[in-house]
Amino acid sequence: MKASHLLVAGSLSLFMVSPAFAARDYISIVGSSTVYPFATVVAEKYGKTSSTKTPKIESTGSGGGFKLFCGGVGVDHPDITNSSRAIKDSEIKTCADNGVKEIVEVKIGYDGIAVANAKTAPQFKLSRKDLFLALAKEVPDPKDPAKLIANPYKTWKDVNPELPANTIEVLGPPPTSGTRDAFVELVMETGADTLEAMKALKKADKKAHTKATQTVREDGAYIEAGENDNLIVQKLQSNPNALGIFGFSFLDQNGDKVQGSSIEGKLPTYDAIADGSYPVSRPLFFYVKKAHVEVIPGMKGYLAEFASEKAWGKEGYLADKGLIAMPDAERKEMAESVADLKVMEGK
Amino acid sequence: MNSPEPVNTMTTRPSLLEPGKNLKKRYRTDLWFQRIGITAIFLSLAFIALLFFQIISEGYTAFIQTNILLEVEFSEQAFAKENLATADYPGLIKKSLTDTFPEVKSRNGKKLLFSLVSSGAAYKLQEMVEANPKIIGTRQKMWVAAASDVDMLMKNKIDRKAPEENRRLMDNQLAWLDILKSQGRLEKQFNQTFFTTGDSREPELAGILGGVKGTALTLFITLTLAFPIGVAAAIYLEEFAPQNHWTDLIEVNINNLAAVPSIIFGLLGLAIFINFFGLPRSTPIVGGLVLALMALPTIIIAGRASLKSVPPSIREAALGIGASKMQTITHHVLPLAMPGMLTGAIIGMAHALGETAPLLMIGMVAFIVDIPGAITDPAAVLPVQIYLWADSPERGFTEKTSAAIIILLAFLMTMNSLAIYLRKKFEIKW
Amino acid sequence: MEIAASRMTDQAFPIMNADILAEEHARLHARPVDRKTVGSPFVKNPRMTCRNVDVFYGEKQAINKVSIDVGQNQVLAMIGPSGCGKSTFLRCLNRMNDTVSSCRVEGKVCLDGIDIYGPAIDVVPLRARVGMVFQKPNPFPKSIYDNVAYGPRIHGLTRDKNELDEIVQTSLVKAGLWEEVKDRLREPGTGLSGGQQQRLCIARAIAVSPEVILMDEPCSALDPIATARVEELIAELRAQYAIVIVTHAMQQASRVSQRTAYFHLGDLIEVGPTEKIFTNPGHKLTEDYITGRFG
Repeated sequence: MKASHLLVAGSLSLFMVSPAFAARDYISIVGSSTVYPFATVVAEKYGKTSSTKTPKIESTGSGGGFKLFCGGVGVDHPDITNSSRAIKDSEIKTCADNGVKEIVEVKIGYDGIAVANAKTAPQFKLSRKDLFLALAKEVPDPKDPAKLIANPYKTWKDVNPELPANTIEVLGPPPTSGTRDAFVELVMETGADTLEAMKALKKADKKAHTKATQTVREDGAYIEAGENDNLIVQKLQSNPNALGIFGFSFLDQNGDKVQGSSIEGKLPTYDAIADGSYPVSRPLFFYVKKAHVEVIPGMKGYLAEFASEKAWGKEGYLADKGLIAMPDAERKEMAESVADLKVMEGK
Repeated sequence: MNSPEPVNTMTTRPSLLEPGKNLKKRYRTDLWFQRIGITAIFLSLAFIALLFFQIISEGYTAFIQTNILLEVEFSEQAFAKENLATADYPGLIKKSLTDTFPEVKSRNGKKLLFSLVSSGAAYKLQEMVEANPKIIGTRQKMWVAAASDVDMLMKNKIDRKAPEENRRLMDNQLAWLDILKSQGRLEKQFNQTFFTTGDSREPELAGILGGVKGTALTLFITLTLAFPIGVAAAIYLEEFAPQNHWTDLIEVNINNLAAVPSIIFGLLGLAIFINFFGLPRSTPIVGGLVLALMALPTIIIAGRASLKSVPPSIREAALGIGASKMQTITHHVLPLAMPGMLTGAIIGMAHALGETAPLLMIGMVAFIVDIPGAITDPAAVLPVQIYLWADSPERGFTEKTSAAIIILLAFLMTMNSLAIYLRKKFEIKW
Repeated sequence: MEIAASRMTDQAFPIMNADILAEEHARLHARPVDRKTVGSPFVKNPRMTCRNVDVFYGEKQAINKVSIDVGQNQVLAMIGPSGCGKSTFLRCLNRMNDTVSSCRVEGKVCLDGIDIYGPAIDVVPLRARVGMVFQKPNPFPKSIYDNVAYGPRIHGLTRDKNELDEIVQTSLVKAGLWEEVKDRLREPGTGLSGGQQQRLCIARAIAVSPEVILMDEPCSALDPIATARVEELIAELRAQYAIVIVTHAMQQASRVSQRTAYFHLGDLIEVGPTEKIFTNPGHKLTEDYITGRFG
């Protein structure tokens, strides 16, 4: 019996080797997978040039990031969360309920969403209306616009006579992705608003309108390609008829394989996104827990690195990675607010 | 029957020379079965070969790396300050490049020129100076990593003929590279960085060591927890536990646990180890605990099976001589069951090794640059590293992903060979 | 069991008609009304005494009120058809039945006057004093030396290596194996031939200096030459130990034993000097069995 007791005791004692991990000597960052490629570059540069440890960055998605971030104050909870959208009121409330009262909001720049196809195929000239009609699950009946019918369009030509007669085939992110959220908000909803029938519906039945604008078709025209944008790029190459939806940084890195379609006459280029003329772009943020700045080593340094011109400036290394820099004035203002750790006003 | 001569009353007796239809049919069935079996084996081998070919052909290039030979002057002025860390190392690299191509004057041209060399080159200089401050004031020739785009070009993964605006490298950059190449200053060399560094966002600086070490630490925790507990549980259930409804219930549930989706274990780990016990996120200790929970059912089931397979005569022999039950088990039964238990443990571990889903829940899917030194340091593991690289936009990570898969497969093969070796070593014939 | 026995009967009496067959069957399979064992189960200087021993497997009774003595320096052979309970009874004598959870033993089994089923009795020293050799040779998958040395080691019988070496040697000498293995004591015991393995098991049993040795069909897995060697050995060992042997081979019982006990369906039918049992059995069942009318 003795030997088995020893075994059990030994195993139990291993469980017990967990003294309170009071101190944490590295920054813990969570949040959006869109901001992840930028935050990691900053973290790496900062870790290599400073004496503190490299921050740890988890890609949890914006919502997941806020959930962890708002969990409370203390070393068990992350210091910074990245987000591809602004924090919601409900999240501010959760934070406050858990004692996270002082939050610093930092806008880092913009990200564009590209609708692209293979270089071997002709470039598409799209509008948000075309995209809505091609991808929504239910669209107004062309004969009787007041009625919503299951999407009847098979080819792009059906949607818009100026477009080629290719079958509608779009590879895009699944509903869990922030890119999908942004696409729905920036393309589908605005696209729907250009249609008189949808405007009327918005007034008459708000719920039905939301459902109609946010539901993507499920009959095979829209193919959920997973969170991996590289995969979409690969699939576009092998299928010149298909279009793909992904972040600008992937278009930037694969300019020799895929081309962005113009939307409302604007191509997804760095400049068009930066000056706001390319319509499908969104701001990116990170949020800092002020209470942690003095506690966790390296927080100030990391913030300073991120808010420096060599990082988020127009010529900075984040721009090389595909981040669209903010206009000069906005950047300057934001850098000051970071330096002062200006706490967000309650909305 | 009483007749002395055998009477051939059986007209249907099978002839030895001309087998009947029935027999032929039987042989045909045998043949078909064999053919189907061989086809199945051949197909699976073909798929494995295809998979390996795909991964290796994609990934072997990650083990070589394009380097550029630079002549760097560690001038006294650059190190005027006391602190070596504050010196302008990127400046030294830039100076060396402008010395090589003095004709480049424009700001934009310089920027393009500098972008040929990896940003990691400056860190290399810093390390060199810190290791040996005597090189200050000398000129040193050294190989530094080229930027990932240059590397991709050298590996023919960037099309030179594509129009300039669609290329990551401009025409004048290509011209400089051709000059460097003709001078023998641009070469593909063994990629040491890949084996000695942690993760990075620059493909040319990214390494697998962080993932390998994280995996090793995690599996260490898993093994030290799951193996003793699993073996003890198997021994108790097989040798001591009374046969009643409770033990039946436990047995059924252990079998059920083996089939539970791994992400459930991740949720359990998050709820118990992180939220309740307050263990730090993203660390091998939590990862190891979660994977240990996952591997336990496999180890217990394999352990019980191997205990069952020990012949009862050995138990009787030991008991008959006056060994106590525990002595019988530890002296005789366990050594005989050990090879099977080890195999089960290693299969359970190998299974756990490939998991990312449960690790996602406990924060191990994270960008971690520093190589973990202890079980409480944040760490990534190999499958997570693969997942993260597969999702990175930079072209250079495609080959790194395949290379990381090669490393993971090598890890798995090592573990399986270890299992075979241990089994052979401890196997005792009776 | 019933079916098996009736089939055996069929083979034994191939020309009987159905009525006689049924009658014979009923006679053989009815419990004797008179349970009193024929012959005297007692000896003058018993090593072990068993009184009214009942063994149950769950609800089923396997041994029915058996009383018998095991005498010093004697070989007691237990014979009987398959399933008669002789092995079960043998295993009661060193409490090997303890490992079967459903098994229950009632009555008294005494070793030198002490009830081995008493509350204060520990089975570990008991099994050291009542050693056992099994049907199939079962050496440990260890060296010859370690096989023999295992018992003395766990019981702490020796103070140093020299003493242990001596015990190993004397045990192997007694088991008649020394000359064959003295040059390869470090080789695995499982590498020996079947007969040598069985003698190794005997050496292993006597290495802990038992008083009684139980043998459960020790030669059933051996060839005739190996069997002869083991039988010789049993005859030699009798000088020092009390031996109980279960055997299927009646010839073997008559060759090696001084007393023979005949079991039938859990009852001890007859016990007495071997010579008497085999020449002049006192009970019809015994006679049927030893004359080979069924078995």
